[in-house]
Amino acid sequence: MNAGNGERGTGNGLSSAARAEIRRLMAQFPEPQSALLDALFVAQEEVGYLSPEAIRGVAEVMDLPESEVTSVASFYHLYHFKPVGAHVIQVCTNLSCALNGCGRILQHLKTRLKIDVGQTTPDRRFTLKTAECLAACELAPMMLIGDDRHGQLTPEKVDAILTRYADGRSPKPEARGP
Amino acid sequence: MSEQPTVTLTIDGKALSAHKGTTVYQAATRAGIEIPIFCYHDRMPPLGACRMCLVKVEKQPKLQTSCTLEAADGMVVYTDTPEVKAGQEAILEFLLINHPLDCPICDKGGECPLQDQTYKFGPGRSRFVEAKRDFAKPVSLGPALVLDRERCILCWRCVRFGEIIAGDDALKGFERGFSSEINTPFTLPVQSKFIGNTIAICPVGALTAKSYRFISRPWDNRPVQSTCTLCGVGCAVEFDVRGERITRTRAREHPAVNDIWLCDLGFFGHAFVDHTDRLRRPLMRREGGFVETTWDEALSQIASRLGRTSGPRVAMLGGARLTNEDAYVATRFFRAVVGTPHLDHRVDARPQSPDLAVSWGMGTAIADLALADCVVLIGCDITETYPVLWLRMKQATERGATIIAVTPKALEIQRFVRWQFLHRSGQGGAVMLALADAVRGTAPREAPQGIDRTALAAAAKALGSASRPVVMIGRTALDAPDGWQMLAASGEMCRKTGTELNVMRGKGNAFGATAAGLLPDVAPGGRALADAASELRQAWGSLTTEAGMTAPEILDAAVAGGLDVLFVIGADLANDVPDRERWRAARARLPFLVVQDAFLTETAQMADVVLPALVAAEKDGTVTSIEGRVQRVRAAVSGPGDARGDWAILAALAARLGKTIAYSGWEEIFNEMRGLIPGLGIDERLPVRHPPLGKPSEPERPASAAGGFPLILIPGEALFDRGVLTSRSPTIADLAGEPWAMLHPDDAGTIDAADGEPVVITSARGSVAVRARISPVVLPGHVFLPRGYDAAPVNTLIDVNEPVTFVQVRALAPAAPS
Ligand code: SF4
Ligand code: SF4
Ligand code: FES
Ligand code: FES
Repeated sequence: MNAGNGERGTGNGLSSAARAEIRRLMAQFPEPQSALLDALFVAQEEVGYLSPEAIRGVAEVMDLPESEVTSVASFYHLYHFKPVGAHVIQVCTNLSCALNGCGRILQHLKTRLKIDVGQTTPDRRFTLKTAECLAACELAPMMLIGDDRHGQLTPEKVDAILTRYADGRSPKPEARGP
Repeated sequence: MSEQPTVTLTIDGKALSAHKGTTVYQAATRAGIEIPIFCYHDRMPPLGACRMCLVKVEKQPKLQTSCTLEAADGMVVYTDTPEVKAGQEAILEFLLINHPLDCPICDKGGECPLQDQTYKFGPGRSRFVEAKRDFAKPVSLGPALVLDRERCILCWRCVRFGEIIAGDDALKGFERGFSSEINTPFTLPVQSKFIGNTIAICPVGALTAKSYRFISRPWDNRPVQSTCTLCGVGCAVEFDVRGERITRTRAREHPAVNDIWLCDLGFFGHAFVDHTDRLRRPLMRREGGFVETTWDEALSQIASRLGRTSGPRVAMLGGARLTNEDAYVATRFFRAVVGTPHLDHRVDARPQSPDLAVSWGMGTAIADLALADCVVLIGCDITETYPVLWLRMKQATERGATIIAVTPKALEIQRFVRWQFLHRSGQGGAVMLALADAVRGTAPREAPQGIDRTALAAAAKALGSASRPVVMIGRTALDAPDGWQMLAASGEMCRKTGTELNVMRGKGNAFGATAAGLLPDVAPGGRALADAASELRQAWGSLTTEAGMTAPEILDAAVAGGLDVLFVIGADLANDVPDRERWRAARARLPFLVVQDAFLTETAQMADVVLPALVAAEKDGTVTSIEGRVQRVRAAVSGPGDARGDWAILAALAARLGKTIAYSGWEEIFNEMRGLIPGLGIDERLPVRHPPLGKPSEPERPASAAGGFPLILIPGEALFDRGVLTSRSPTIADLAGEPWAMLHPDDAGTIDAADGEPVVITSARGSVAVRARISPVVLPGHVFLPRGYDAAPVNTLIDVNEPVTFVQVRALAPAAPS
């Protein structure tokens, strides 16, 4: 819609910088809706997760129904609808990793972090999730922490890796995007 | 037009020809060959999601989905080979892997395509022994809809209905693969005015109606074909009746009106019919209270009161809840038996407003809305007032139509509106004048502040170049402080573009009341009284053919002590009139008030005699829709206690007055009406007559905020409200929620009001308590307050002598500082 008088009102989800970034992304595509996945990452980065307000913000800027934005976001594993910890651990449980003992790795993470799958540690440092094949079968069993791949895991190796994240920083600058 | 190319194919050995573009499924169905389907629905393009419609096509290695396969020349198709049967069995076995088969407790049982097709095409047994997918059940998605996710076969019909037909995107698919489910975002109440349709088209029992849960089986229902009378669109419905109760309302196909759809008011708005509050016996006032009485006594009392006065000191208001036949007999009763010309159904019209100068209704045919290439909505909130018409406009937008809206409150459908001119109260006229200028090609005069002139020019260009434009003006424009200006500019714009102005005004059977002559200045059929006089005299005997007072004038006369008796028939004046104080003053000076209604309305509570009347679902006869279409209503149930039909009540009263009004039934009345109303016929359209528009008689008075009342009130419409009938239909009352008002975030900030919190709106006249909704759909400085909530009546705030109502809004519980 082209309002005869200015744009629609703003919600309380997104800053004007985030809105501007989404508009910039939309301009990159012949069909502005194509920018939706990137726009969701912008929102997630700003709010920390996809809160209803953040989704409303994306929907408003992109002139899409909120239901459509939520539906699309729910299709992908890398969007979070609940607040997550500083580092999101995704343990692959698909075939190659299963055959190579991801069960043991997952169990180890649960015991060590004292949380179940889908939960976040009380210090909000780690969120534990499982994932389908992360396209790194050669590294099975493997997991992602943020965007970093860690493979050929053993419980000892997991311990070592976790200490590297435990001080709150990523060991290397985090890249964004799928 | 060139001949459409055809193709010839063979299905099950039958040679068929079909238009190019036809699918194999369609060609087969037309030839009477059954192919089972789930996801395909003929009002939407094919999707190919369920694979139930498999067929064998010669020379193609695999089975094909016939709903997506275009018929081609020379194609040889089989629908019942062993291979096809195996395919169908496999699909059904697959669909049933996770299906709970809880048919005994499923509302769809008995009319369920999955049940029927499993029986007909299924394997009869399953190889799956694994545990089924399980969900918490059922999930409530708001007041109307219940979702049982494990029953869902993911056909996407409901999702696509929201995307393609209604444009509300109410239901969506979430997650993926094994976890896929239909839902709303975060399982919140579904936001839709059309969700009943998804219940109707869901091929399983995944979507069911809360109001029909465990109520009946299809074979226990007796369907009664009728017409919805709740808004004026006149959708064709079927009431399912079990015993003496309407269990549900379903859509009946009517290609020219509602196609196969209804709105949720139609689907769930019938429950008031058997509400325990219905009036069952006549009531008479005695010692300050009401006592039940007999018809005999009630009618005698009214007759004796009428005997002590003269015709012109009697008046009648109301009529929109009557059938055509009721309205016609009412006209006859008042003009010929009582001898008064003071009758008017337009009880909600503002005095001196353009409301009273135009004929209400549409010249444009409802079906043609889908063919429009430009639709202009002037103060007309289409989804809140005539919802099913929006579905036609949505079709037009799919074909590329441009929608232009001039409105003080952003429309719910704004995503589909190309140019929306959101204007301040009192500036709609200026916007319309500028738009009319631009259409005319003269330089548009100064557009009001905040309205983009380039957008105006672009909108005018789209309208100017449209070949099938449709222009609609609604109550918000006609009742606006600059209503006359808006009407004049709209008329001018229509003349320029060679189209007619559709006056989107009037609820229920207001159009039938108009046609039947419940107006002070025209005869039945919209004819001049003088012209129709001799025919009327022949049919009715002596009568008054003078022009009488309009509804606002009738109230004035009552206030001035000029009336002895007022009849209110099927209207709740206390809530319907624009200015409640005037009604109070009128009532105070009225010696005798008769109310004929189905409930003890606020108006009835002030009456001297109350007569219990039947409602549309209890009567046989006809009603007239906003496009003038005359359709049948049929008695689905017989009505409570001693309640009677309206025309029968008036006929009985005539007898007391020594006059005869005798009809054997609605047919006889209808036949008599046919002689007097040109064009009257079942399923025919009566023409809408637009008399020449009067010039503004109202002086343009600049309005300015009075001290202490900084905001401007915009009264408006909401589809779901809590009035006499809707508050007694639980689903509708729940959808409506508590009374509310819409405030701009800036104003809400000033008064510290939070979304959903209680606020009090006060004018110089009175105050109402509502919940605040905070949204930029209204401009700063305005408060939108919907009519129709009897607990927060807008008309307590309004003084019709003031063109603009200024109000103050106060938060009851100031928002906690965050
Ligand atoms: S809820 Fe019904 S209509 Fe919607 S996808 Fe599932 S089966 Fe189809
Ligand atoms: S659009 Fe009007 S007539 Fe049609 S179902 Fe809804 S309320 Fe009834
Ligand atoms: S199965 Fe784990 S990465 Fe592919
Ligand atoms: S009906 Fe053809 S695929 Fe569903």
